[in-house]
Formats: sequence, C-alpha cells, structure tokens
Amino acid sequence: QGTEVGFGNPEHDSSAPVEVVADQLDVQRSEGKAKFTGNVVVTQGLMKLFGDVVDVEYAENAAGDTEIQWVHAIGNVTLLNGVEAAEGDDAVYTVESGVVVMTGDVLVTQGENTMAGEKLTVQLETGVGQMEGRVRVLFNPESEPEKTE
Amino acid sequence: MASHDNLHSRIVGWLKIILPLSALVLLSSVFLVARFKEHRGTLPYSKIALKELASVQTVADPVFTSVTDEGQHVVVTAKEATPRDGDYNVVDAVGVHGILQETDGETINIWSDAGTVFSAESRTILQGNVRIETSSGYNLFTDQLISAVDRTDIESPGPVRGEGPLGTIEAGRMEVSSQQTAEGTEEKVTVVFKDGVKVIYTPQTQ
Repeated sequence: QGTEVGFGNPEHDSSAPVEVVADQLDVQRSEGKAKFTGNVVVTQGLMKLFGDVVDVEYAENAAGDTEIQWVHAIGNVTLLNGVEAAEGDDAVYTVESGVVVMTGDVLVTQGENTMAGEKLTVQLETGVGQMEGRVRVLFNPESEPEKTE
Repeated sequence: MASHDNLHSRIVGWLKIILPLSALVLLSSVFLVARFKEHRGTLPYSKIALKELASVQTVADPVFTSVTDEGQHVVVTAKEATPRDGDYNVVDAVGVHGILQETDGETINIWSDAGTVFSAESRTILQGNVRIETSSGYNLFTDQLISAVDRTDIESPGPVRGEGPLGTIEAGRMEVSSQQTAEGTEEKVTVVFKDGVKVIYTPQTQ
C-alpha cells in the first residue's frame, strides 16, 4: 500500500566515492565495524546522509578489497538527494544496491508539501521512493493544491 | 804485449777494492735514510674526541625486547641509542623501528627518525616521520607518537593521515588501545580517531 514519492536525481552513481566526516571514529579491528560519532555526514555524489551515529560494516570481498556492506545512521537522520529531504530516526543505506530504508516518523518534504509515514524506501539510482505505514500527505494551505502522482 | 796485460790486471786489481767499498757505502746509507723517516706523522685521534668517546656509551644497533603482561611481544631496534647523561632510565635513539606482536596475530610496525625510551615509565616517545603500519591494513603517518612498552597503548598527540581498510583517512588525533573483553578471554584492539575524522571510501567497480 506504498505511496510513491519522487526522490531527487535519478543519476545517482552508487560506485562514486563515499566520504564520511565525523567528530570521532572507533574501529573494532577484528569485527570490520567502524562507528562514526558526532555530526556525522556521509556524502556520495549529490546524496548526503546526516546522523548522530553512523555504523559502517565492511568486509573483504573475493578480490581482497574492502567493501562497505551497509551504512547505518541512527538519531536525527536526514537524507538529502539533490532537492528533496527525508527525515527519520534511523536509516540503512546498502551501498551496492543504492537503496536507503528509513524508519521512525519519516517525513519527506518536497517544496511546500510534506509526506509523513513510518517507512521510506528510496532507490537512489532511479530516484523513486516508496512510503509505507499510515502515510499522510500534508498540503501547505497557502499554496494551491498540487497533484501527487 | 806485457804492458797491455799489465794494464788489464791493474784495472782488475783496483776494481777489487773500489767495488766492495761502494757496496758498503750504499748499504749504510739505506739505514741512514730509514732513521730520518720515523718521527714525522701525527696520531689519528685527537685528545678531545678520545675523551668524548670514552664518556658517552653510544650503543650501535641496540635491540630492546619485552613481553607485556597481556602477552604482546614488543621489539624496538634503532640505528643508535645513547643513554641520557649516564642513567639508563632515559635512552635517546635514532632511526627507531618498533614491532608489536598482538596476541590475536595482528602486527603493528612503527618507524620514526628519532625516539626516547623512558624505561621507568615504560613509555617511548617517537618523533619525526612517524609511520604506523598494521597487518589489518592501516598505513598512517604522523609527526609524534607516544607508545607504552608494557601494553598496547599508542597515542598520536597530533594529526594523523594515511590509508585504512576503509580508504584514505585523516584525523586530528589517534589512539590504539587494547582491552580485555568482558569475559576476559581475548584482548580486543580498538583504534580511535578523534578531534575530527574524514574517511574517503572508493568502491571497487566490479
């Protein structure tokens, strides 16, 4: 019963470099886990993911290179993808597939309209988002109603 | 004819006297010349260098090894080490190379231009082109590093940059420490980058 929501630029390249900036990084060497804490910003191309804490899980692939399995942002999470912004409590970004799943009072703002729900799944490469769970679309009264596809 | 023969025998007679005499003269001059040569040329060491060498016990290629109570093997080698004013508590070293063998198989190699070992506090301070390389894929550069010798406790007071398993990394400070896990079975090494960190991960395009 998901409602589609357009989410930013479709040319997202999930093989572009990922930059993570934070106050601190703790690495538990044996488990291949990196915990970024404090004003964490994950940037890949036009996509920006903000969070209080971002856990990155990585492993060595067959070729012996390190591959990030997923990026898990927790606390005051915001996902920007060019134009739209989505806010929630928690977001998991699987780098390889370019999919971000955000949960916890998700709010997507598009211009004046906002859409609220419990779970938002965004395909970064197609720019298509699926909002699920008590989806509510809030029109901004001043602006004339916009058709949501 | 006789006079002719006479001349010949007279020459030979004289030669029999002159030749042995000249041989004698030649032989004695060799000894004369030899004696003159002996006294010139100075000694290779000046007095001052000698005194200084005697007082400073600079050790070449020293090796310092220790096993920490958690079982890590520490080997520190240097090109040269000099105890500071005689007491062996503080030793300054040049061209330092430290190797830490963690119990879980990880190896940490540290190189630096210079370093000082404070054996009383079992601590070393390394400075100048400090490079840290770990078998888990870290290759970091910094200016100064303070490392305990009796346990894994390494700290860089200043910025550090380089490569890590995740990619290039820059940070304001870095600390490597090991704690016993809750059950106390094996020891876990944690690397913490502080005062701002930036990591750039470049996905391998398949």
